[in-house]
Order: sequence, then C-alpha cells, then structure tokens
Amino acid sequence: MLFNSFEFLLFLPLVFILYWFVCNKSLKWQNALVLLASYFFYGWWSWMFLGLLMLSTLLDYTYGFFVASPNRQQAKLFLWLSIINNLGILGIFKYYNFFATQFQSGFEFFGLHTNPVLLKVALPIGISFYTFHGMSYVIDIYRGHQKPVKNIVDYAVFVGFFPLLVSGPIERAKHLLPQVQKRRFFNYPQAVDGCRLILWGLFKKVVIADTLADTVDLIFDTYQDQNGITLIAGAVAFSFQIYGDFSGYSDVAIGTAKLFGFELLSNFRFPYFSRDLAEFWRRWHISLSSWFRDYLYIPLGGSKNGTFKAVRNTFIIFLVSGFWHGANWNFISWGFIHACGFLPLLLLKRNRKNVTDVVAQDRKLPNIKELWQMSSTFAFVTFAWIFFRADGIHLALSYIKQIGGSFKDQPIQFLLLPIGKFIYIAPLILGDWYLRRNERTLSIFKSNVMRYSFYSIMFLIVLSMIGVKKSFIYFQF
Amino acid sequence: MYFFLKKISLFFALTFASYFFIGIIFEKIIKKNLTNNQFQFQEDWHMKHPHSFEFLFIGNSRTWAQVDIDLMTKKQHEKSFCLAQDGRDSRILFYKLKKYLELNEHPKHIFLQFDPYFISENNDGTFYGKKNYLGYMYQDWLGINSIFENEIGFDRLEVFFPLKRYFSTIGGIPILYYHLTNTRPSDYSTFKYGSVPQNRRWSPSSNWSQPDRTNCLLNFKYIDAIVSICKAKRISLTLFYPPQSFLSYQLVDHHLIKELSAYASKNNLTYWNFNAIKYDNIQLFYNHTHLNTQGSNVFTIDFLDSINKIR
Repeated sequence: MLFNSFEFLLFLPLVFILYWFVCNKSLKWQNALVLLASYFFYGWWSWMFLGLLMLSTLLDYTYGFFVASPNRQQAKLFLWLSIINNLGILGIFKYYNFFATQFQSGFEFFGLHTNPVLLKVALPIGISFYTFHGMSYVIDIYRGHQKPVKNIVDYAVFVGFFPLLVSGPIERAKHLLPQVQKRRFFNYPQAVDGCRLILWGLFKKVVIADTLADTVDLIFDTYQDQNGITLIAGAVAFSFQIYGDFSGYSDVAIGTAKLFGFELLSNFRFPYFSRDLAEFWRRWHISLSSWFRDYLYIPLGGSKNGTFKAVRNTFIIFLVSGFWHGANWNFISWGFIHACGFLPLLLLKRNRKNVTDVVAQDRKLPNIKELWQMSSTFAFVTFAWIFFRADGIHLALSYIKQIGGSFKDQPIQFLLLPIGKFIYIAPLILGDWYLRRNERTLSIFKSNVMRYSFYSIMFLIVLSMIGVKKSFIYFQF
Repeated sequence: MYFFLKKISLFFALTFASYFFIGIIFEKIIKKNLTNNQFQFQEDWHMKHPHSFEFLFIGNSRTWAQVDIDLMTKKQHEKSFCLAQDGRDSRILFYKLKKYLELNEHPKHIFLQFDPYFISENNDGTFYGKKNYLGYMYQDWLGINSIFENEIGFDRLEVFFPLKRYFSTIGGIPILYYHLTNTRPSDYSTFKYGSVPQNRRWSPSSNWSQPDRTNCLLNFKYIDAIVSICKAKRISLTLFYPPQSFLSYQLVDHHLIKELSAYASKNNLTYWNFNAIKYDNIQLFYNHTHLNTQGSNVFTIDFLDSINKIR
C-alpha cells in the first residue's frame, strides 16, 4: 500500500478510529491492532513476502535472548549468527543476482564460460529497512544498551510498524521500543502536528517529486538529444525529485506515527541548506547515516586510529552506503564520489564544523559566504546524483560528457520544458527555508481562517494530483 | 480526541464542499464558453470555420509527424489536411472524421494509416494516459468523454470534483485559465494543416537502440466504420502503412502484416506499405517508429509518387 494512494486514505482513518476508540483500553490491544494493521499494510503488496518479514522478526527476537547471555562467547556466536542471518536474507534477495553476474563476467574475462542460476523474484519491499531494524536490536543487546524484549508482539511492532516498515526512518530499539511498551494516550497537539506533517509530506511527494519525475525521466532517457543547460536542469530536477520523494515519505511516516502516539527519529533536516558535505550527511537520510556510523564506522575505529584508518573507514562507510541503495555499480560509484568529496574535510579536520546550528540561524537570509557554501555543496551533491539516477556508470559518464557538448540545433521547447517545471521547486525551497529552525512545526499563519484556507488549498492540490500513483523511489532499496 | 475528530471532520467537510461548489461554478462558465465555440485546440481548429480539402490524411503521430503536409500541398496542387493526432487509434479518429465530415466539405480522397500501431486494440489505454488526454480531449467536442472515462485512468472523484481534471498536470492550470477567460494561447492562433516534422536526429539511447517485438490484436471495427462512411459518401479511400525503421519492421509479427493485406484485399481497397529497404537508413528516423525532417521529406515524396500513379 502506498501512502499516496486512495487505499491508504481509507486505511489510515479506519485504523486510527479502531485504535483510539476500540483498542485504547489496554496496551496489549493497542499493540495487537498496530501489528495487525502493519501486516495488512505490508500484505497488501505481497502476502508471500509477509512470511519473510515474520520469519526475520521471529529469528531476531529469538537471537535477542541468546545474545543477552552472560556467556560472552555464546553471545558473540549468536550475534554473528544474527548478522549472517540478516545479511543472508538481504544478500539472497537483493545482491545474489548482482554477484552472480559479476562472477560470470569475471570468469568470462579469463575465457571461462559459466551460466549462473539467477533468481527471478521481486525484491521484497522494505527488506533493507527491516533487516537493519533487526540487526540494530541484536547488536544493542550484545553491547548492553538494550534488554531483550519478552513480548514478541512488542518486538514485532518495533520491526514492522507500518509507517516506517517499507522506507524507514530506520529506528533504534532504545528509541522506539520504550514507546511500544508504554500505553499511548491521545495527545491533541501531537495529532495535529502529525496531520500537518502528512499533508506537507504528501505535497512534497505528489506535487513536487512526481511532477519533476516526468521531466527527469524525459531528460535522462533522451539525454543524447538534449543540450547542456537542459541536462544540468535535469540533474538539478532529480536532486529535488529524490529529496521531495524520500523526505516526503519520511514526513508522512513520522506524521502517521504521531497520530498513533509515537515519535519517530528525524530522517531529513533540510540537507540542501548544508554548508559542506559533512553537514549534508548529517542532514540527509539521518537514520541510515547514523546507523552506519554507530554499527560500522565506530566499530571499525572511526577517525580515532590515525589518518590512514580514518580515510579507509570513510571510504568503507560511503561505499557500503552506496551498495545498500542497490546492487549496481552506479550506486557504488555514487558512494565513492561522496567519499572523495568528504576526504578533504576529513584531512583538514573540518568535518565537524556546522554541527549544531542551521544556516542563517538568527537571520532571515544567508550571507554571501553561506550562499556560496550552500551552492557549492548542492552542486557537488547534484553531480553525484547523476550517477545515482543513471542506469549505469557509462550512461552517467555519457550524460556528463554531453553537458559539455554542443548547444546548437536544439529546439527551444527542450529548453523551456524544464524551466516551466521548476516552479514546483520553489515551494519546496521556500517551505524548507521557513521551517529550517524547527522542521516539525508547520504552523504558518496565526489566523485560523488563513491557516485552514492554506491547508485546504494544499490538500486540494494533493488530492487533484494524487490520481496517477507513482511509487516512492526508496521502495526499491 | 472528540475535539480533534470534530475539527478534522469540519476541515474535510468545508474543504470538499468548497471544492465541489467552485468546480460546479467553473463547469458552468466553461460549458457556456464551449457552447459559443470560441475556443479551439490544436488540430481541431477546422471545426471553427468550415474548409475544403481535397486530400485528408488520417492517423496517429506516425501520420501527424511523418507526412509533410506543406510539401504535399505544394507539389500536389491539392489542398491537403492532416486529421491526425498523437497517440490515438482508429477509434478516436473515426469520431473525429465523423465530426469533420459534418462540418466541412467532403474531401476527394482519404488516406488512412493502416498499421498495428493505429488499429491495435486499446492503443489509447496503453500508449497514452490521462495526462495526454487532458490537453487534447478535455473539450469533448465530439462527445467522447464517456468512451475514455473508464479506460484511461479517470477516477470516480473527477465525476464529483470536475476541477480535479485540470490540476492533474502542470498544463491543466493554463487550460483552466483559457477555459474560464475564453481566451487561447497565442501560438494556437495560427492554423496548421499538419505538423512540422521533427527536426531531431537519431538517438541510440538505451530505450531506442533495440526495438521491441510488435505483437498485438488488431481491431478492425473502426476501420470498417471509416470504410463504410467513405463508401456511403463516395470518397475514395487508400490505406497506407507508414515507414518505420527496418530493424523494428522486421520485428512486427508476420501474421499482422498478412492480416492487414488480407483485409485490404477483402474490401477491395488500395493498400500501400511504405516499408522498404530504403528505410534501412537509421539517419532518417529519430526513433524506431518516427521519421525526422529528412526522413519525412523522403517519405512524402515517396507518397506523392504513389498518389501520382493512381491519378
């Protein structure tokens, strides 16, 4: 079930009413309903893969008890079993075909012909997210940060809570589980905030990202026919498309969770207002970046054990992050480019600048220096997005080469086409700029009439454009 | 909780009610404007002022973008008009032809595109969706809205909220503006007899380098209807299969080609298949099924030669 579908518009109020009117008497009933609704939400897409989600949940729940054992050797053994189990599921469904074809190519290079068996199954939606939930839970138990959960329903809600099940944010046990284990009471300001976030998230997805998607697809599919300006416009449009798409999803997820009394982790904090690449990564897909930081970068030594190890760990984390997005070399190259961009900041020890504040914290507008910093960071990120969006490295390179190509013989409409679509980016930039100091406060007007008229218009625009359903980009990951 | 539900219900009720009433008012204004026939779209301009054309070319984009009408008129000394529309099939063009014949003098000769892309079943549903429908068809001059409503993605909400139809694309907003103000875009004021061929070069991108196999079910229902109209009104009719890249033509299922020829023979109609080895030159195309300016020139002259042979 997609957030931007009419099925969800029916599903959400129904579950909401059952939750607060029928199941509000006890925690048990609340969690049972959330779990049932979550499995229904997932099963709407595929009942078959719902079994995989249940199996993964059951295994990590069981491993949790063994990993909590005071016998550290036994705990370590089961920790590794859990990691192998989660990465195994991910490996089979997401990466098997990639490795099989890569080995085939490798053998063919040496003149050996192989015919590997390829899996012909769809990638289970959300697999990268719920396996990471499970791993973080088991690792946290091993580290002593978390106690194993006794009630399997509580654990299953943590892994499968429907707002975050298919595209995150990737939650941590110590943040979400205490909320799952405590009875929720209706909180009016929280519910209103949730509705506002859902509306803003849907607006970002349906109005901004989906509209830009047509332009982006056209430009990337026919890049050889386009001139340099159009290709740059295409890359910029993709930057906003993917941001609108994914941050829109996260907003709807966080907003939906609020309606049920849960507070989820933030996933985006206005990444395109970042003043350097390090700040960008503290603001983009925060739940994944912090996951890799806590469970990969720091265990590898982080930046504490000398320059060589810091550089090595930086490359590892960016390459793994790229590979997490998809079994394709273009995602790996996207990670590599970001690692290269991050390297100077690391070596000059400037990667911890701009940690606490936001741009133009006490002002309405940025100064020239900040504007330059934001623009150059955005330009770099957009350049890297070309590799992310293109169907392969060679196509990304051709695209970039074509940017510097001929500007002649191009019909004027190809230039005008993207410019027309760019009016959709304006509300995203203006909205983000306005909200940058507190991303979850969407109350703009003080007057009730003005505020509700504004929400009405936003809602109607979303409703008008929701007809053609487009999947979220991050569903594929 | 109850306060929240009360507020949110009120919000939705007021929002939907205002949307509904504004939509009704706009619809009334638009309908009034449409009755006056003062606004036209693209190739439907002929419905504004009656015209007479000797030659009428009917088809989809493979006719619209490939038959150079200016060149045809210049060389042939017969006024030609291209009654064709991107992405449409024989069904919609049948309705357009009927309306054309009601409003204009009958042509001497009709050249009807006769290939799987034009007469396959549900072509409109698969190739073009709601977005394209809006720009071309919202006016509903031909009363064909109902045909499409259930086939290309109009959802039920649009029946109750007509404004929703306009906002589904960026193009919807100016279209709504033109409808309400009874104005039209400046570039629509020039009457066109046909399209300007695409000045685009061949682009062997991943999507176009390997054509797909063409295999579909042919639906002759509307071709039959056009044939009947032509017979009844004594208009001579010729069927033609426009060129496509030779590589893609080879991937058109053989039984389809046979079926087309059999239909033409059975109905005793002249049928020209322009797919020949000369269209092996990929530089004449901008994709596998559409010629570019250079190719359109070659094809139009080819077409003219064939017309001259039967005159």
